[in-house]
Amino acid sequence: MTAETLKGHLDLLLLAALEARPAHGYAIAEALRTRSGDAFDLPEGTLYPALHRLERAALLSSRWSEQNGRRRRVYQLTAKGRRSLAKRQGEWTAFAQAVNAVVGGSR
Amino acid sequence: MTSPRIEAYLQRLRRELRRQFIVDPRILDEVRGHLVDAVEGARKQGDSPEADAEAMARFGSPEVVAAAFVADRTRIPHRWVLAASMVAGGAIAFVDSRPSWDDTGITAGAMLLAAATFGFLGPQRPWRWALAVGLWIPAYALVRTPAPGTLALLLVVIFPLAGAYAGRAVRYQSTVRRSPSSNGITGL
Repeated sequence: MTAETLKGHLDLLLLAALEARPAHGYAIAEALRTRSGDAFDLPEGTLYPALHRLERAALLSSRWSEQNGRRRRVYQLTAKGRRSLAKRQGEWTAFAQAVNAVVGGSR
Repeated sequence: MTSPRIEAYLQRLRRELRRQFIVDPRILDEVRGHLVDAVEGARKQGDSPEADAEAMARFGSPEVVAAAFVADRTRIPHRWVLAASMVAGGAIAFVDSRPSWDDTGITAGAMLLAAATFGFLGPQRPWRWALAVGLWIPAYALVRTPAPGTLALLLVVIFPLAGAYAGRAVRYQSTVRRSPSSNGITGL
């Protein structure tokens, strides 16, 4: 799946990837890759502008964390981010069902 | 652990971001951490000698990453800046075309100031705003007096060009000054 196809869904994917626990950028990229079964062909570097944007929108918060002498920026959902995720998940489910009904019905 | 290849990538990314007026050491720190993790992950899986290159290929080229940051941070759409600069240029040309108006210095100053403002707002394309501000006067003169000598009026574009690039330079300086670390790369 190309970056163009993912456009518009990236925010939801990032919020969902952080739903269970806080994570740093590389772990988020890994989660997206493994959970999608390698379906998302997205340059990992393009996740960071989206993460920064979600943080500016107060949907995520972040802090530096040091482990084994290595610093990583760890992101986590805020309360507003959780509410936004729940709303977007509902919208996505309705959208996917509608698309499936049309596309699946044409076969 | 970081590697010369990762550091070279970070230098390219830093240059590309600065070219796009983004100076944020946090970006480079995060990218360094990501690439180090990615290289280690790749080595654990297959111990590939090209793990660095593979990790960087997956991350995307510095140009692609910088473009993603620009797309995300540009608050004023360029088409609005273009429209505003055309309106400003048209207004200046309108005033300048009045028979009672005879102050070339003020006209040149207005073009310079207007273009400087737009150069500050949209530093990636200053020449566009300069042309949008400055081409109205020669265009109007050519319509009124279609003669080869009128083409010399194209020289007035020098004023908005100077203004637009001055605005761009001010923006660049203010971007660098706002940065917590002007060298762009901080230790890990």
